[in-house]
Amino acid sequence: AEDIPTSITSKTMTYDANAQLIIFEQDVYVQRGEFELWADSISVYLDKNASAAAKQNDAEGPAIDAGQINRLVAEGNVRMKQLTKSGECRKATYKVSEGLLVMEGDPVLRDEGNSIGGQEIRFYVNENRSEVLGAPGKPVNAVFSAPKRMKK
Amino acid sequence: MSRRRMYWVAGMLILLTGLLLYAAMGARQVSEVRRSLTDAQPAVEGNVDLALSGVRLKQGEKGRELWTLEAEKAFYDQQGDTVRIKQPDIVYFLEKQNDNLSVKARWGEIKQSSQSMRLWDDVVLVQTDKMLKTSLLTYLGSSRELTMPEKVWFETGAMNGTMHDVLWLLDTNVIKARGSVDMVLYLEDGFSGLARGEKRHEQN
Repeated sequence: AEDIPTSITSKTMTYDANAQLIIFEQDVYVQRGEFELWADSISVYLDKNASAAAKQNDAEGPAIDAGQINRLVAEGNVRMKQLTKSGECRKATYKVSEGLLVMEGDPVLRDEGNSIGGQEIRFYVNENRSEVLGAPGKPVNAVFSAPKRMKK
Repeated sequence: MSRRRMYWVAGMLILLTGLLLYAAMGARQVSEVRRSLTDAQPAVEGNVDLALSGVRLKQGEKGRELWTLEAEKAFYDQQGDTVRIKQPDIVYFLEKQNDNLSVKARWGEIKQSSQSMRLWDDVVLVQTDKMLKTSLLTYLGSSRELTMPEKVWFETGAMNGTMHDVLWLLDTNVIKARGSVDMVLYLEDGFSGLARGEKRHEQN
């Protein structure tokens, strides 16, 4: 299946080629299919492609290769939403090769009246599976709302 | 009138005609050169003192080359210390990155006193890891900065899209967009929007 494009908008952006880093700041919004995310800033970390180590300058112009995206780190008022699910935290890291979204800083996930929180939440995007990790002083905390009983 | 005198008068007439012709030719040539200059650069205001074709300029500092410029034509206006260039093709040497930056445009203008350059119309910047396209660019030699006040198309291996009001610091190779950024990222994670096993509802 072809990758769904990920669009990102913001007020400002800094591209540091030497540090292989792109930083989006102020009103940052990401959309990918039905998934949406808002944050104060998002940093995109790039990996130099091993195959592109040698600089190419062929007839069609240089191979424009800034490297692949390794991970995205959203920080500050992070909110996300996908269909009936929503979540918030202070920091969210998306590791591209693993398809793993790690939520930290009082993370909470909600889905139609149920919610769960803890020290860290790991959401495996391609498997639609999440894990919630607690820690001393920060146990996992889940709230399930029972469906309303039908009146006889 | 004796035959000898007649020959003498005819000779003088021929000589005089020749001189007049020569004088007329000379004046026409000068005006032709001036007209070809003004025709060749319709966008150029002000008078032109010198026009050169197939131009190659270089700027260096303390023994290191900063940039080279090739242009189809250059028009030098002595009063305003400005050189207007047609189809400039510039290469900036980014010593710290061990890389070059190529910049092309349809028109450009170099102001020597302020070490600045302005390029406009189809400005394209290409470096190993990125390409930018815009309509107006200014280069400041004193700070080695490129500014692009209008909309900029930005393309790199990891993303592409548009941004506005862009500043490029050549010495640190950092680009700052200070106005509405809209990019598409290439996340190669095989995410097609569906978790494995989840079927997209058929559109009926």
